[in-house]
Formats: sequence, structure tokens, C-alpha cells
Amino acid sequence: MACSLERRQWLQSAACGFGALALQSLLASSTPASATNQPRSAAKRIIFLFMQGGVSQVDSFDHKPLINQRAGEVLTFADSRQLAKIGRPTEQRLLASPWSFSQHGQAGRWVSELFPEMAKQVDDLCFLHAMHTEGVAHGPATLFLHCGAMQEVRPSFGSWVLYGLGAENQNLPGFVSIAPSLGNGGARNYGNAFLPTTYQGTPIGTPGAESLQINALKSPLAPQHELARRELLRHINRQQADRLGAADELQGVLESYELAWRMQAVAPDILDLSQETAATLAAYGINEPQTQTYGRRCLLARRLCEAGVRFIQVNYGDNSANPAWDQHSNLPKHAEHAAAVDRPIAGLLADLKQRGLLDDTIVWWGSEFGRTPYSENNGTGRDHNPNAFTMWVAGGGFKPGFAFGETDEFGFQGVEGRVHMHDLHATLLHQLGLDHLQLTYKHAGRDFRLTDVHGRVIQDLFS
Amino acid sequence: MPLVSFNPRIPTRCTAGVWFVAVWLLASGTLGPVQPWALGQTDQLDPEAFQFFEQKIRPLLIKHCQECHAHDTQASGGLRLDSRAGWQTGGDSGPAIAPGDPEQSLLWRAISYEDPNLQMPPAGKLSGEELRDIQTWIQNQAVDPRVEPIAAQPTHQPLTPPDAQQHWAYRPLQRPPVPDSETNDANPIDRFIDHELQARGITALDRATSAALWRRLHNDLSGLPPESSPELPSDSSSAEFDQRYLAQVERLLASETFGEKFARHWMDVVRYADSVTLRGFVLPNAWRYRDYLIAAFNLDKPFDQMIVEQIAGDRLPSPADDEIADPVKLHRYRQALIATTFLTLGNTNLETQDKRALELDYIDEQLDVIGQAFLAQTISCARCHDHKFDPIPTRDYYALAKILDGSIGLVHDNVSTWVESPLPLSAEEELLRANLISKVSAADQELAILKAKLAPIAQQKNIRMDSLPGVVLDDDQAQLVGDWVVSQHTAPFLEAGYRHDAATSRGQKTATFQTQTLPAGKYDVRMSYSMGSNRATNVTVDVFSADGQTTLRVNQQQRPNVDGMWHSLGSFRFEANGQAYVMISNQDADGHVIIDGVQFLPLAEASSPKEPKQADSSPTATNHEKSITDPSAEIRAAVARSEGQRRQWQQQLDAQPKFMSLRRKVEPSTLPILIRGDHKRPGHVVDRGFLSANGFPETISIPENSDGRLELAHWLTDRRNPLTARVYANRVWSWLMGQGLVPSLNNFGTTGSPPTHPELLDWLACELIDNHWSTKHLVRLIVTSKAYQRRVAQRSFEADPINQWYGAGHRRRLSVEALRDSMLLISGELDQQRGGSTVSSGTVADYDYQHESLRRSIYQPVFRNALPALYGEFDFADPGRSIGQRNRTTLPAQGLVLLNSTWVSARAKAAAQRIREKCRASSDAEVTSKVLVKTAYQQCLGRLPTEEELRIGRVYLETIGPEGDDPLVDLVQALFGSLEFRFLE
Repeated sequence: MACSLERRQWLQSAACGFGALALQSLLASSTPASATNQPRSAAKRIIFLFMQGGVSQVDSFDHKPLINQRAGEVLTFADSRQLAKIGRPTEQRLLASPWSFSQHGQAGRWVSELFPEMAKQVDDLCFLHAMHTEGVAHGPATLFLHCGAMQEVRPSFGSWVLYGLGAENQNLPGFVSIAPSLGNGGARNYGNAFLPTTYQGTPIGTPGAESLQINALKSPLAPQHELARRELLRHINRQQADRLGAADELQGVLESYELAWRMQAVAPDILDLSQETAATLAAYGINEPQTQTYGRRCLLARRLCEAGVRFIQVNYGDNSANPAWDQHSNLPKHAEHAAAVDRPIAGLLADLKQRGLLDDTIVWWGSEFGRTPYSENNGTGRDHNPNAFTMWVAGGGFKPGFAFGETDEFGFQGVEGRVHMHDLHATLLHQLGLDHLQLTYKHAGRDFRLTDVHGRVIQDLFS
Repeated sequence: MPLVSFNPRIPTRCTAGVWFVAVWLLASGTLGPVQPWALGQTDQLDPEAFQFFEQKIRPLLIKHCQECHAHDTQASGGLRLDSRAGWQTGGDSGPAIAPGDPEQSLLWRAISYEDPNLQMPPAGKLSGEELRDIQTWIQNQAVDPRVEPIAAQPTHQPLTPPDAQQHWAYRPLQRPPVPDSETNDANPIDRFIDHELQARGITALDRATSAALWRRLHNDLSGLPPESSPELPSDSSSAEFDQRYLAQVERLLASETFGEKFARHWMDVVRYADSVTLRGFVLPNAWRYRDYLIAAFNLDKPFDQMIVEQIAGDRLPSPADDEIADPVKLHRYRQALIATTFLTLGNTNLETQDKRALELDYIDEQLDVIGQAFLAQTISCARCHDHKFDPIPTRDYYALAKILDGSIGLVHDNVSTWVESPLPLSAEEELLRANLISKVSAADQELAILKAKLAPIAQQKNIRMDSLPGVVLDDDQAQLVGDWVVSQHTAPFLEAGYRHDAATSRGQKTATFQTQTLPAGKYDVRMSYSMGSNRATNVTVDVFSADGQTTLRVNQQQRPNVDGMWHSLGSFRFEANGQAYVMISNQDADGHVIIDGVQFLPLAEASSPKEPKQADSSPTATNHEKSITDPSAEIRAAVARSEGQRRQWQQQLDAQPKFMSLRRKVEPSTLPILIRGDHKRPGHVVDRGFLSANGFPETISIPENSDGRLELAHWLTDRRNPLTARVYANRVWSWLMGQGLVPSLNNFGTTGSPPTHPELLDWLACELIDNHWSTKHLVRLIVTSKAYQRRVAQRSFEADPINQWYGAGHRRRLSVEALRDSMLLISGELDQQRGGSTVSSGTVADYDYQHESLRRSIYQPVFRNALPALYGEFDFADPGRSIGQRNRTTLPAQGLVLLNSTWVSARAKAAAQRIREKCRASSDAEVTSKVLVKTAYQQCLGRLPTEEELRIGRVYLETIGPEGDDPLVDLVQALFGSLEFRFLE
């Protein structure tokens, strides 16, 4: 390559002279003022550990010894699927849990042997044992979990959060979903629907692959080459902008390139897990074949969390119609999934706590629904149960070592402290400083909310 | 104990809340509209009862009920429990309490938790003592001293149909006079526009430069940039340019690219897609509707006719036999049928288990799209309650829904499917078809005979697993629940024997045949059993596949349907690592249940089984039985041959063209108004009908024998309908001018925006109707107006910052389709083939689909889970719902994908090579960087570079560019990313 002087000048003529830029149109920094009038905002961001397919509560955190004592007995249950199909309760056979439970932590929480690592941290967790939701099948229930609606196209939770809070780090996407499934709603589960595209979730990686990358983030060119071409585009655009005028819209495009290049500079570093110590990698289980996939996702979540991403979803699932935890048959397969996520999640919790991030970060764990205490068609697995299931939250101002709600003697139906998915959405928004009644967006002639016309904030959960 | 509060989830929202479990199930008819007991109570209260209420009941209601059921909270389900009148009137389901009779009281039914569909409070059952108190209270006549007034009326009063004309959009359409102007030969559009500009003292800008205007016109009418550089007169105000411009308008209107551009506009409005989100099912025949639209716009089919065809093409009189022989008439008939695919393209949640709820959601989606697309009305808001703003009462919603309920585009199953019907055939094609059908039926007869011969042979012996193709599981390998008895009593059976349930412990025994190693694909799933007269006739068999759970009943007293041993359960799709198992249970069995084996036979093999394995190839070759030649081999081979042929003929039959359609329901719809949109809560019955706000509701009547769709189409296109023509004229305006005269294109209701130029809008609507609803007529009018041709302002006018008075041209972005097509055209790679299916064959689900085709964007399949490159970043219309105006976002991801994606890089590379070739071809001398830069600008931006641009380009090509790589690629890619490429001036 010739003429080093000209080359240096070329590269040094930094982007400047564009005047006041139309940043507002670009950056997710506009917040609906009325939505953030909460007196107190404990949390700044949220990590959602999505266990796709439906973890069985009666085999994990909702201990019901009666199921094992009366296993094999046939009882009448208001099974959701049968209720939807034929409109009446049906006879079902109780299926014993293959796993034993023991008590953990100061609070003496019951945890099954599926989650030995998480069991050590129950004093940091806040359990919701009587969750209930909409949708008996995966598709509807998964969309309901993410968007608060089953059939209609609505913005996802993360989009609402980003719309409400704005981005903390202008060089990174404010809402990411790590290894999201294509199934059961796919991109709608991190979609912005009618909110501006700025609030759309950015997928990183896919369920099957190990690679955790953002689309088109890496330039295929060598660094010097790329810098030179960048400058060429700046020159060309500046010439055009002089001719075309100073419209905000055009300035916005120019700024969007600068932002893209900053992201290109910053994000790969954050996505690069090799900078972590061996001890950290071990804590997330990254050196074990069984745990390394989910471990890497959890570790990335912590790095994104530190970098100021508002909503980070860490998926454990796949693209199939019966994803991951969906054990209609062969319930023992739950152990495989548990082994894959237990250490990574425990590692994440410990790491966040140790770095002081747990105070202003909510960690939220769970599935689109739970499972039945009885077996599917008297087989070897459990069917879906949207009537009752366990989720937990940690950090972000939620009561540590607390459990809310109770299910009946078989863990089939909530009997006390029931929390609907709309309620949990409202409660999580509240902890992020957002009032679910005020966080609205006008579309098609009316104001829309994540919680539609429902939702109540569960005050009992706050410390 | 935490404070138990609750929120009864009665679906009061504008959504499909029909899955809700907590449902006030009791229809109002059960109790009757007026209860005498509700009127009998006086204010003379028994002091003891009064005390009981105050001490026990009032606190209990406040604590557990009034968070939701009070006039100052949500009054969920319309029920208020904060006053006597509240529960006397009751909610949507009628009075809540029958004083003296708890069993007849809805309230008691809800709190007793005995009805799984109705349980209050939702947060958990009341304590025993609390329940006893309520029971006692109701038994003692529910004495309630609370006489507070019922809630105040809401301050906001929605419009009702009789006052609808207070809102501009519902007023009758009349042709307004064209304002006077100095030059009365001017385009009437300009006379309307100029009138407003003058009134506001805005001086309009002059015409854009000839290059800019040329590019604008080409983009708007064809979606492509002008291909070769025309020698345009540099002065766009010259008469010569005028002439060239008018000629080019006609040329572009006549080109097939016009239909490709305008069909895509309409496809946004009708949420066109080639797949559904859930499970990514590909809709293999959706493309016919896309091609219908392209052809219709190219033919300039009257838009009212397009409406009729889209709403009721299948209800138009079908041509007589001799007319079908006429290829032109047959084609027209087919086109009208295909148009109804419009009604079937919703992003349906096929998995919904409550199938009636699914149908009503389907109809709701149809109404939503019909309402927005043709009327710009948000009709679906009236599903659960009268529209909160617009004059659309719930009875209008159900009058329309009842029309659509006459047919449905679904076939129900655990996962329902859409309907595909064969297109009518010409006489010649009919003959071919009849021939194939008779061949298939002959093959069936032959197969029956062959298989009957095979049966006795099969009965003689047990069958070895390794002699069979596919994945075979013996009962020894099944996961068994309960006691199963091993037997060899009745042959044939797989391997050592079979098992039966001894006809005991009904409902407690299952056998699960599961395989972990099945490669993805389609399989014939078969089970084997030995038939017998003591067998169950109703064995429950569940197949778990990628399509969910399918429950079948098998009669084991009958001969297995394949060959006397194997019984085919049907063909199923399996995903890698997805569920693949068959579960047989003795639930409700009326005889012995037999389990013997399950076979997953890849469908390619199903009709041509591989030869039984040779004895010597097996490790157990010494086994005496294996060395015996199978006497049935010959017959099996004949079966295979026959099945193979049959399959070929069947494939030819299946290849007959089909279209996505609706199936007519046998019974006329009896759909009543549904309270809160819940089909388990029927209300009054309404007649089929249309929106009453639009006037003339009674003039179009629906005959008994019609489902009403054709009448709906006629009502939509009736000249008296004030909305349809206005809505469409407004769309055409926005497609060319960048914004609508009514900016809210899909909402002409009271919450939408009012028209900026109401007279112009009405004039355009009348012009449309009076010119046979010709789209091209409107387009010609608009693009020949001065308003369309103005230059874009460098800075917005102070008097009109959003340019709503059209004093300047609108700066517009290239749509993602135009962006993509432009790059392909410049790179010389654009495949200009038109029409037809473009989905790679064999694609069942859209996940991870690789869009490799280089055809125009309109022909790329719109896969809801896998959009083509760039679509996600550049504001493609959400294919899940009707879109009037696309988003206009500016995101860093756009820059990243333009500069870093392999797709754009490949186009830049090809374009650079093409530019070099062009330069070489046009000059004998060595190609200089100056020529290259000039050609690159001409090709990419349709103009020559300025001096400074030329200098920058040359410096890059000569000194800065990379070693080894072609710097021209960088220049082209930078131009692709430049402002002028992404925006239209």
C-alpha cells in the first residue's frame, strides 16, 4: 500500500462536524415519564433464566410427600388440557417423584436432589409456589409468559422494560436473548411488536450452537482495511449530507453508523469469555462437558449485566415442539436437564452476589408452566400444568430466603398466595421502578400495557 | 399468613381471553333476567342480621372480594360486591346471590370451589369459617344495608351508530367541487393542494432534479432503480423532460414490475406470509394468492372486484361446464377462488386445545384484518364490549362474526391444520385425474388380494426384528407400567412373544415404546398385535411426534391393516432430538390389550421395504430359524412393487394444484353474542349483518341459503359505504406521497387522525369509484401532479415542519425490498423470473430456512420465523398483523448488516466486477480509477460524482484501498451504505 502520509490523514480524519445529532431517534433512551413515578426503584436490570418446556415443581421445589405415599392411586383432577378439550375433570393416576427431597438453608426450604447446587443458595431466593398462567400448550403459554398475550402480537417483556427504562449502555443493545428457541413463538418472544424497533431484543447465539455472537457484529475485513473503508463511507456520506441538507433523519443515519462502530468495538470484548479466570470458569461449570453450554450463557449474562444491559434472557431449550423440560414420558430425563443448569445458575448467583450486582439485578427463574402430579395417560411422564408451578426470583429488592404461596397436598392447584403471570409481570416491573398501569403505548387507537387490563403488584415479596 | 388478595381473571380485555379458567359459567338464561327476590328487600333490617353483616360479612367482602369487585376498582366481570344493588344486578352472568338459597347463588358456587371453571377468590379458597359465615348470610336472606349509589357513569361517551355522522369518516361520500386556480388546466390534485398552501402562505418548492425525479418515479412504480443511465434533459422544467416523464409513466404502468411493487404494498395490509410462527409450518400454497395480487394490479382489475374476490371469491356463481372449457373463463374462476386465501393467512395458533375458542379467534383475526384493510376500523375491539370510542356495538361484531362463522379455514386435530382445496380443472386435466384415480383404486384391489395371501403365511411364525426395515421396538424394550403377562399363544408376533394386560386394572397399565435415535423425517408408524376375539376393540394408542400428541383407538379384534401383523397408525413427522414414542394404555379397554411391537418406517421406505437381511450377515446366523428362506418373500416383493406404483400415481394426484381456502360449515351459524368474548357464556342471538354506523344496513339482505359473505363483499363495495373508497384512495396516496391524507392509514375511527385535506380525499375516492375503481388511474393522477414532483426540502418549513401541506417532496426511505432488489440489479445478479412457488422443495418448517434465491424480494417466501437477509433490520412489515404504515427506524444493526453481512458483501463484489467489465467494454484504453469511480456512482446512485466525490473515490482506489483485495468492492459497498442510496430524494 502506498503513501503512508495520506493514509494516516485518511484514518485520522475522525468523524466530526455533524453538529447536534438526532440521538433521540436512535438510542433507546426515551422513557415515558409517567411510568417511572415509583417512589423507589430497587433494580436496574433483570436476568431471566428461562427453563423451556416446563420444569416439574413437584420434583424440584414444591415438596409433596403425599404424592409418593399415594402413588398409583387414581383420583379426579381438573386437568387443564382435558378441561379445555372436554370441559370436565378426569381421573388421573398419581406418579411418584423419583427424587428425594431434603431441607436446606436457614429457612429449611425443601429442595429435591435435582438441584444440589441451587439448594445451597436457597437463603438468597424468593420462591413463588402458587404461580398460575394461561395456555395449556407450549406455544400459547410461552407467548403468554413473554408477552402477556397468547394469540395477539404484543411486545415482549424485555421490550417493555427497555421502553420504560431506556438503555444504560449506549454502545450495546439494551435487551438480549441468549440462545433463544425458534419454536413456540420464536422471535415474538423477544419482539417489539408495535413498539418502535429500537426496543426489539437482540438474539445472541442459537439453541444448538456453542457460538455466542451477534449477527453481523464482526467485520469480515482485516482491522486496518476495515478502518479505511469506514473512513471512505464517512467521506462519501459527508459529501452527500452537505448536498442533501441537515434533516434529523439523515443525521440519525450518520450517527447510527458511529454507534454501530462503537458497538463493534465494545461488544466483542464483552462476548469474549476467555478473559475470565479459571476459578470463575469452574464456578460456572464451563470446564465440564455437561454444564459448559449453559455455563457459558450464564457467564455471558453476568458480563452483559456488568456492561449495563437491561434485560438479559438466558434460555435453556431447543427448537422442537416439545422442548427440553417437556417430559411427557421418561420423567427421569429431568435429571439430565437439571444437571446441565444447576451449577451454572448457582455460579451466576454467587458471582453476582460477590460483585455486589445482586442488589440492583433481579434474577428470575422458571418455565412457561409446571407439570401435573399425575402421569400423562398413566405413562412415565407428567403433563403440563398451568394451574400451579414454582418460580423464584432473587436480588433486586425481593425478600431473600422467602417463600410465598402454597399449593394443595399434591402440588396441583394453588390454594394460597396465588400469583398470576400478569401479577408477576406487574411485580417485576414495579421492582424495576415501572408502574405497570402507567407503562403504556398508544397503538391502533388505544393504550396497550404488558398486563392488559390485569395484574397486581405483590407487595409481600419485597424486602 | 400473607394478605390474601385476588384478581379474578374474567376476560374483560380486548383480547381472546377465552382460555380463562375462572369463568362465570352460568348462562344468564338459567336464572332469568329479572329475579323477583332481587326486588323484595326493604330497608327495614332485622337488627341481628344487620349486626351479623357488619361483624362478619362486610369485613370479609372488603378483604377478599372488593379489590376487584367494586365500582372504584375494576368491577371485574361487571360484578360489584360493594353495595346491595351491585350483587342484585350482578355482573355479566346475572345476579350473584339468590337470597335464602346458597345453592342457587353464583357467589356461593364460586367461593365453594366445587366448579373447576369458577373458583373465587383466585388467590385461594376462603377458610372454613368464612365459608360458613357466607352460607349463613345467604340462607338468612343476605341482609345487606349498603345502599351506596352504583358507580358513576363514565365521563367518556363513545359515539353510537345513530350519531356516527358526527365523525367525518362516517359521513356520506360526495364529490366536492375542485377549487379554482389561475390555471384551470392544472391537475385537480394541485388545485386542492395549492389552495391549502396559499391559505397558509407557504411557498411550494419547484420540481426535483431530473435524476432525482427519475429515480423517484422508478422506485414508486416498479420498486427498482432506473437500470441504464438515460440521457435525461438536465433541466427538469423543460418541455422535453415533461414529455419523457409522461411517456415513462405509461411505460412503467404497463410494465409487470408495477404489479410486483403494488402487490407488496397490499401484502403488508393483508399480513401476507408463507408460514405460521408456531412450529414454523410452511403454507405451501400461499404464493398463489401473492401471484393473484401481482396479476390483479398489473391487469388493473377494478379494486371493488378485488375486494369481492378476496372476501367471497368462492361464493361467486361458478361457471357452467361449457364455460370451464373456455380457458379464459376457467382462469378467471380460479383467480377468484385463490383470492379467498386472503381470509386464511392469519398467524393462527393451531395448537389451541379448545377448538371452538380457536375458531372464534380465527374469525376475530379475519374481522380484524377485514376491518382494518377495507374500512380502517378496529372492529375487533367490540368482541368483548361495545367499542369504547367508535360507533361499533358488540352486536355489530357478532353480526359480522356470524357471517364468517359460516365457514372455517381449519381442520381440527390436536394441532389443527389449514384447508387446501383442489383448483378446478380443465376438461383435459379432469380426464387425466379420473384416469389416475381409477389406477389407484385398481392398485388398492390388487394389494388387498396380495395381502390376504400374505396373512396366512405370516400367521405361521414369529417375525425377527432384524428382518424389518426402519426402527423396530419389541415389547421387551418397552417401558412398562403395571403388570403385563407374556404370551406366545397367538401367532404371528415379533421376536419371542407378546404381552397382554390380562384385562385387569383398567387405566393403570401402559407400555411406552420410545426411541432416542430416530433421524428427523416423516415416518409411517406401525404397531403389531395378534388379533383375537377376546381383544379390546378400543385400545388407546398415543403417538408423540413433532406435531404433538395424537390419540388413536385401535380395534384389536380386527386384522392389522397392513399385512395381518402390522397395523399402520398413520404418518408422523419427527424432529431430531424431539419426542418420538408410542404409548399404549388399557384405559377404558373393553377386552384384552395386546402389546407386541412398534415400527417407525421412514416414509421413503414404507412402500419399498428393503430386502430382508441375509442370514449370514447377522451375528446370530447360526440360528436355525433364520436360515429358512422366507416363503412370503415373493409376495412381499409384489406388494412392494404395487405399492411403489400406487405411490407414484398418488403423488401425481397430490400434485394437482391446490389453494388455501375455507370449508363451508354444514350447519348455518348459530353464533350468539358472547359475553366478554367467551364462547362458554352465550348471550342474545343477533342476525347476520354489517356495521350499523356505515348506514344503509337494511338495504342489503342476506338470503337464508347464503352464508352472507358475498353480501358482505357487496356491502363493502357499495357506493354508499363511506369508508371503503376513502380508505383505499388514502392508501394509494400514501404509497406514492410517503404519508396518508389521513395519516393513520388503518384507523379512520375517532382515535385516528383526521384528514389534512378532506375534500381532496373525497375527490380521490369519487375519482376511484367513477373510474371503475382503477388503481392505475389514481396512480397516474398522483404522479403527474406537481405535488408529487417537488424537490425535498433541505430544511423543513417552519410553517409546516412535518410537510403535511405538501409544499415540498417527502424524503422517503427505500423499503427493504427496494434496497435488496437495487443491489441485485446493480450487481447484475437479479433473477427476473416471475411467479410460482419459491420455497425449496421438501421444506416443511421454516426454521433456519436459507433464502438463497436471487429473485425479486416479493418472491422471497415470507417466513414468520426466518425472514430473508436485511428484512429484520430494515423495518419489513410485521407479517402477523395488518400494517398500514411501516416503521421508520434508524438502528446501528442496519449499519452492521450493510457493512458486515455476507449477503451485502457478495453483492458489492459482483457489482464491482460488473462495473470493471462495463468500463473495459466501453473503452479501448486502460481503465482509469476516474472512470471506475464515475461508473460506480452512475450505477449505484444514478448520477455522476461531484469533483470532491471523484477525488475521494480516486484516492481510495489508488492509494488507500487494501492490498490484495479489490478496493472498488469497498467503494461500491460504501455507496450501498450511503445516505443517497438508502433514501429517495
